[in-house]
Amino acid sequence: MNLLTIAIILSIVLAFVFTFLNGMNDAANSISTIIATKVMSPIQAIIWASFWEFTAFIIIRLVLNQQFAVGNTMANFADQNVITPYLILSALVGAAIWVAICTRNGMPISTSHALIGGIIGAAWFVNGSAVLHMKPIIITLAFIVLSPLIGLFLGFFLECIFLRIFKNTARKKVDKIFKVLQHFSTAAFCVGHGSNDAPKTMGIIAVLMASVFTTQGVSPEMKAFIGNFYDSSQSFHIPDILAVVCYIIMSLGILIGGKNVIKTMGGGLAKITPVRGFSAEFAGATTLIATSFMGIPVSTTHTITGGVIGVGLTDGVKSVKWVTAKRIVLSWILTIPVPLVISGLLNLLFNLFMH
Amino acid sequence: MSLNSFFQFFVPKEKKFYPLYIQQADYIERASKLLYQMIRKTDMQQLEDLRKEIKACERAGDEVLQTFYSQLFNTVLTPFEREDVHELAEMMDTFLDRLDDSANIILTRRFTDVDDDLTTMTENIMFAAECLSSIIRDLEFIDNKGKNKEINRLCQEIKTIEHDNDELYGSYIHKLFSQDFSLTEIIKRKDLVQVLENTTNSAKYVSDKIRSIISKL
Repeated sequence: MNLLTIAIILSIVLAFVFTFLNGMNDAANSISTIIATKVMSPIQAIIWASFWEFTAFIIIRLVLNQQFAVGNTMANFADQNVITPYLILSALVGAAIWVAICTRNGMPISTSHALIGGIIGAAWFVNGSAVLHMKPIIITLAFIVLSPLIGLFLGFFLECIFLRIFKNTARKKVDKIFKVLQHFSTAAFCVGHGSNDAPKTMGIIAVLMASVFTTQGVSPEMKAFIGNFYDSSQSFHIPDILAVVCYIIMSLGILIGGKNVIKTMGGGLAKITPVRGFSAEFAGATTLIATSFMGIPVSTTHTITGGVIGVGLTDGVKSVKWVTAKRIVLSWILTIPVPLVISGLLNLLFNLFMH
Repeated sequence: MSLNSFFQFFVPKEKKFYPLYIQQADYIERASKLLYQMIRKTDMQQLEDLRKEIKACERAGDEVLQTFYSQLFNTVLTPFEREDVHELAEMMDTFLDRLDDSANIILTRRFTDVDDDLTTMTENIMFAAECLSSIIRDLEFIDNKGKNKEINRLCQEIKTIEHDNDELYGSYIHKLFSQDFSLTEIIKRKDLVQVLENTTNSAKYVSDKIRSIISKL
């Protein structure tokens, strides 16, 4: 087994681990409000979320017959002819190292941003800035800031509209209506999460598969194996089989991560009414689904946090827990530049050793 | 325009709770004035008449509290946090209940004379009720910086009144047990000073609640 084969296998395994951890970490985002409002039991909510997470695949591919736009963007930050298995491995390892350091030290982090930084750095340090595609990079960077803000304003204005509509309606009646509607908002949020988060690693694995056929030194056995799943005669695409596997892994992540969420919830959740839960989730879902179809990778955690802050703003600026907002801003500063440098240096090292 | 003013511009406002607070504050103010009259009287008939008027205030306050509950039940919109809306109303009702308790003690203990210390404590309670009435009238404009400052000043005033009555309570208890009072007199006077102290505390709890509401805005 040559080093390239090892790099390819390691990259695929690592990308799947990222997908699994993503589902695990984001389980809380997907189900916390519906559990807080006692619409569903934790177990019911986890199953509900996993189901809708996977439904994103059915909606995108089978109903709408669309490509995974976010996955295509993730694969298109740099010229595809400079992408090698080593570059992808550097990007994933760089991101993983930084995520591990930040998690260990309790620093806020977005795994999505770490992956974006990793790919950009690994391509840039070895091949120069000319290979980078500035348009998707700039749009992605802009939406890192914009997506929580869009979530915030959507959540705020939705809450204002509902408060006006139901101003003179009995609270219990309003709660009853929105407890039903929360089933849909949670489902929409999970579809949004599935359409934005799963395609991120999908795009990385697909571009790695494509690189197998363009990189010199890859064994014929590996080419034949990857050829079972990826049609190299076509232009860049994300194979459906890969998408299905990614969605299954992410849904499994939510199922397993959900257990931890139940434990955390034993200590009591922040108070949230059904109308607020619905507004925040709907704002998050709308932002996620819109950015997914525009092919812009965003952080789902930041987007839903923006929605929750927006809903809370109706009670006044001081009622918002600004510590959370500060952690988001801090993670913007921390998450992209550091993995960018780590992955860039790693890819430089790989290139030095391999040549 | 501050960030808060910008967002609050779009948030629908619910103003139906403010007139209810003002009604409660009016009953408190009236009951406190009647109590101050009561403590300076010894004529039984006059005392009974004043007690009846205070009781009427207390009952009217209970009805206002009931209206609060039904209004809260029928709306999703509150001027500040839902829990704070009814907690403030309940605390104001407790203040009114304490005034009624004080009146009851004055009437049933049949004092032949009342010390100046106790009259001063009752007068202080009346001042606290007046401060509270001014605060409640400004509550609707709590976002306004000038009004906010004035509310805080009046809350501080109530706190000072409560400290003064604490001092008076301590020194009066000392006096009660160091002078030559009969056992019956000690019990009667202890009852009265204790209920006046409790009444002053309930005024302070209301002002503390208002401060906590302001701090969240």
